[in-house]
Amino acid sequence: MGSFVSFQKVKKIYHSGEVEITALHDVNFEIEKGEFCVIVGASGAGKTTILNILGGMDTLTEGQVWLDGQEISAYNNRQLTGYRRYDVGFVFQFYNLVQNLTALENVELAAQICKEPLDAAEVLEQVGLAERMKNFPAQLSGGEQQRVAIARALAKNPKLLLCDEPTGALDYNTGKAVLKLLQRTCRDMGKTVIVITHNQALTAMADRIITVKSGTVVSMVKNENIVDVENIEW
Amino acid sequence: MREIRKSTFREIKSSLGRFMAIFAIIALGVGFFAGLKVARDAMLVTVKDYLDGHSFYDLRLISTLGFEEENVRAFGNQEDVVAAEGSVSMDVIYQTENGGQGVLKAYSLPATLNTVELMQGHLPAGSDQCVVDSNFFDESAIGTVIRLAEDNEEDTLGNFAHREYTVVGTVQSPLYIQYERGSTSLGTGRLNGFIYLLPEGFTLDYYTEIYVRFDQDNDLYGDGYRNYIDEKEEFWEALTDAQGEKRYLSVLTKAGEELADGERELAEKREEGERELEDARQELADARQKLEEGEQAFADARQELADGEETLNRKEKELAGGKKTLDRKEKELADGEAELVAGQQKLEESRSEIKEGQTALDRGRLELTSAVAQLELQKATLESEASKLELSHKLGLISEEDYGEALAQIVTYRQQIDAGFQSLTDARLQLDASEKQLQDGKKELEEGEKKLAAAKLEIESGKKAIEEARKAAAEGAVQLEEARKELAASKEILAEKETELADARQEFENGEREYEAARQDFDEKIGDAEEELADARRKLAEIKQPDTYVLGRDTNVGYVCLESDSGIVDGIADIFPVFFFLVAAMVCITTMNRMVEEQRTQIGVLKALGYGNGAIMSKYMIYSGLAAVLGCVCGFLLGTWGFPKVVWFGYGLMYSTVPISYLFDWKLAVISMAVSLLCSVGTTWLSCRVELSQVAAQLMRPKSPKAGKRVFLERIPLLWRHLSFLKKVSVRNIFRYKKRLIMMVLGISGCTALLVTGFGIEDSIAEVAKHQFHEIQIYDLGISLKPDADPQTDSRLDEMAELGLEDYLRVMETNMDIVTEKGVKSIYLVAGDSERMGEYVNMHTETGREISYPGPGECVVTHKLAKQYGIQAGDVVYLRDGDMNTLSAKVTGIMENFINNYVYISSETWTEAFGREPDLRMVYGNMAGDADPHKLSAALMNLEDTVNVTVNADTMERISTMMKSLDVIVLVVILCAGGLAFIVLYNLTNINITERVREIATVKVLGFYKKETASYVFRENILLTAMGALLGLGLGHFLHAFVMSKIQVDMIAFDVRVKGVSFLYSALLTFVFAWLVDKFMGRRLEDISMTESLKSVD
Repeated sequence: MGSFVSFQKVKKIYHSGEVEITALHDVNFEIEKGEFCVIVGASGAGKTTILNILGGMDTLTEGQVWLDGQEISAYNNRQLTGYRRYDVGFVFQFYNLVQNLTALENVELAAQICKEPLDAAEVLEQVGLAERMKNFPAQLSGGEQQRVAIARALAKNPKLLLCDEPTGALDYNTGKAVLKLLQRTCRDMGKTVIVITHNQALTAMADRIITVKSGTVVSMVKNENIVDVENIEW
Repeated sequence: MREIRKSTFREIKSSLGRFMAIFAIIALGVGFFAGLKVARDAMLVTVKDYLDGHSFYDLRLISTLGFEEENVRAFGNQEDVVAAEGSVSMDVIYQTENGGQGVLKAYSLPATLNTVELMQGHLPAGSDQCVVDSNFFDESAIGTVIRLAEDNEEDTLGNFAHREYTVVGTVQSPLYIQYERGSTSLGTGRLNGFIYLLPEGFTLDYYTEIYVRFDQDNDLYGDGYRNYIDEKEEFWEALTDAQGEKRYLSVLTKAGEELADGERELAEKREEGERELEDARQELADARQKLEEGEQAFADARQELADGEETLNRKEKELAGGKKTLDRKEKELADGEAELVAGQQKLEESRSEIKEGQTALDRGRLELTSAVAQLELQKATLESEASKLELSHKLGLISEEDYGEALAQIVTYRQQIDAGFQSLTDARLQLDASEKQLQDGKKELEEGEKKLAAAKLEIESGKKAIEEARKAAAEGAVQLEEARKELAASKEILAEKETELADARQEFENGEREYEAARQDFDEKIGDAEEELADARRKLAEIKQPDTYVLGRDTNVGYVCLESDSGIVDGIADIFPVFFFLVAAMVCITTMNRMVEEQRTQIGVLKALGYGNGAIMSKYMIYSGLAAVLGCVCGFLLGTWGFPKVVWFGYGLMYSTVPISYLFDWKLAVISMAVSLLCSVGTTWLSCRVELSQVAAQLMRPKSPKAGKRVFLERIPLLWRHLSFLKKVSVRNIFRYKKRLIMMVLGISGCTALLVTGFGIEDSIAEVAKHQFHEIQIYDLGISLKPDADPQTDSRLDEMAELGLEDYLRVMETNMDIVTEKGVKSIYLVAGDSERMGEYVNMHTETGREISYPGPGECVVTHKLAKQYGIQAGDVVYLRDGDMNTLSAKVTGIMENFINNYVYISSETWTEAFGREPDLRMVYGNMAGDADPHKLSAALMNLEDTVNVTVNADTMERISTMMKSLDVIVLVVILCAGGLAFIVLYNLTNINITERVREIATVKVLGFYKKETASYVFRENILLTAMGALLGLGLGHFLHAFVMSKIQVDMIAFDVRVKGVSFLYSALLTFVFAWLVDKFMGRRLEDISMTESLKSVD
């Protein structure tokens, strides 16, 4: 169990009426601390389910999930909330900023419920939004919004940064900038970052590549040949 | 189009909450509006039906002399009259079997008008049966006996055919559609209930009142009815007066006739009686004479008898004397005979004696000769012996002594022989004497024998005489015996005669006594009759022209109370629903807005597919329209059914228990439907129009989220900085959606305002009576006296002190009109002693400042009056009486007053204005603390000059009870306010949540705990509720004032105020409602899946 994150024989079955849908089965993988990991797979392969489970948003049917020595799969609802609160930072595809709050406040929203939050303004500065702190999401561009979202996730000072298609709603350049930010975060701050994407190209920048297909992990590769974001094309 | 319709119904199914919100708010609004609107009408229709069903009267005609059948007919023949019926009613003290006592109003059971409604049992079948007030008696009273108490006046009891009446049923009377039974001069002063007897149950030969019903079908309390009766009034007053006059004449004639009859009868009776007495006296005299004669005859007979008896006795005595003589003679004769026999015997004895004497003589003679010889020998022997002895003595042969002895002995012997010789000589002599005696006896004997023979002869003749006399005596005795027998018979006859005579005397004496008694009786009876006649004559002289009264329904307490009570409901119905519709419209608009927004893309797609605006819009129109129509129908039916029922239930405690009839008001239904559709479809159209004006492509793109904005609070850093971060979020959220904010605040403030109003109505009305009688009219009793009361009244009232009338003040209370620029209004003018008034009426302004009693030329008016007619202190007001005499006075103060309108002046003002002293006919009385007001009022009622006594505590109690029924209305208002709050809060929270699902999911993903998430969302609700409640309190204050101004009850000025505690309750209740909604919606929050956060914006 040395690994920071560990999925062991994870199975997830959704019940929809009478129909049983097996979303995941026999999912096994590990991620080491401080790694930049990309989970890649086509639509419907089950990567979002993995994200949900790992993010403490959903429970699993069978198997175990471990994070930093804790068995998340054994958590109850309240523990899961605590887990989300203290251990995981989320970056959503559609940023999910609270429209009614300024950039700074959106970061604070997350920060203020944590034990050892980072200073919201500082984090925003780090993501390069020092100037736009007082702006409302509607006044920010998509990239900026995503950076706020990242800042929000980082401000919580989580053990794990989970990013769901962080570039999905962004244009190419902006997407690149966001990925760069994520990579830098991983490198500079030593955070474990997991990016979930359907974009095969992104795998190039990852330390670890986990490929999901039809509800199970088909390969888990440690990337020996890491390419800088700048050099990735898609 | 079919697909659109299908989609519409699927939409309803999937968003049932939203559909229900529209449905509910419309239902609530319509229900409230229609229900309250229809409540009064339904009440009035119900009561009208009830009253018509029981032929309630229109006029009640009273004459102080009563009326008779002829009058009833005369009234019945008038135009428009459906029926006129005479009725008897009178108050009577009664006792129940278990010792209860009270006062009942007894009515004659009517046949046509004011007919009773039988509740239990059956109607009376005999004159000694009755039916009773079902409000006061329950079923258990049936079969019991109601006894008229002995405490009743003789006259009252005389008007009833019986002393006891058996209860055979309980009834309701249209004369009492309300619980109030009125007052009486008897007993405790309060009527406990009523009782109906058959007309035969009374002995009265006239009606105490006549009820008249007109052929009219005006609405209750409507102007139509009022005008109708007003028009009739003058005619009927004149008519009643005329009939009263007729009755008067009839009474006079009848009484005169009766008197004459009585006098004639008396004269006849007197004559007859006297004649009879005279006859009796004659008879009695005859009897006396006969008796006296009889007595004389008897006395004579008795004398005769006594004489006869005496003679008889004498004769008897004579006879007895003769017999005695005869007996003596006989005895003498017998004695003589016995003597004769004794003489013979003696003679015989003498003869034998003589014989014996001869013999003895002869024998003695012999013996004597022998004895002489013997003695001679003895003498010779003795001489020989004496010679021998001498020789022997001479010889000495014998001793001297013996000699001496023998010599002595010879001597003795010699003596003895000598004696012997002597005795013999005596005996010879004796013999010679006896011989001679014997010779004498022989001679005597011969003589006796002769005498005896003569006596014998004599006795023989005596014996013969006696025999004859004895025979005569025997004959006399027989005669006497017969005479005695005759006498005894006479005696017996006499005795008989005596008893007869005694009887006759007894009879006579009895006759005499009877005669005496009869005479006395006659005298007495005649005296009585004369007195009675005198009485009747006096009474006849006293009969006055009767006062007549024409009383309308407005003098029936139940009828009047219903008007003001139902008016309150109507007042509320005017305003509240407006609120509900306002809120309903807003609920619809936000809901539909949200719905259209949500389905933006769908609309875009439909538009892209080529559907026209109308077709697309129809979906939403149908959606909201259906909800509204359903809501309207449900609300209307439920409201018009339920509200009158609830209100009726509230008043049902007071009014007869007729179920309220359902009233379907078409006009109201159409209005309700129109307003509902306007609220729903109209607002939907507004919402859709904006969206539909955009082109399809635009619609299919997600609408850019509404930008966040700084709120004004942020410009107050002092405040803003002190808010916790999440609160800041809430504050900003609140102000983000202005429309929603306004609606929520309005909805909630409406709810609070309703509550404040509801509580406030109670606050304002419930204690009016208390204020009036505890703070303003602080006297305890009002006694109204007859006009120009006896000057003795004061001293009579003084005497009441022992029953607890501590203190009193005589004032004048009279009706006058106050004439102002804004109109004329009838008021009570009170004139009294300005010095002492303060003890009975506490004058103060509405703010509690004392007002001193007005001096000459001044007056104080009550505040409702002042407000209504714009009177201010310093103004001069004009008062006018019925004869258009006016009085003006300067207003020195506006006093607080709640019941009736008063103007107070001092007596001097009145005297100055009219040149005469005010007639102080009203007495304000204060009681000692422990006095029984009802005892006192009953005693006061019995005073000569008293017309009426009101106990203020009773009035207060009555008004308070009436106001209690408002509780139901307040409850209804509270429930509706709760419903309103719930719908508004639910709907908005619902919109809020659906709109912010992503945000909430994100927050959840960020690790907000359940409570934090809830508070993140609901803090807004709480804040909005607080704002709404705060606004609502202010709004409620005005709404309440407005409602109160709408609830116009003529006599009562409400104490328009809301207690602090009512504000508190209203706010608290609002929060309770909000809290309930939050609790309810909390579940929705939990159900939001975090995976929502991953979805794209749509």
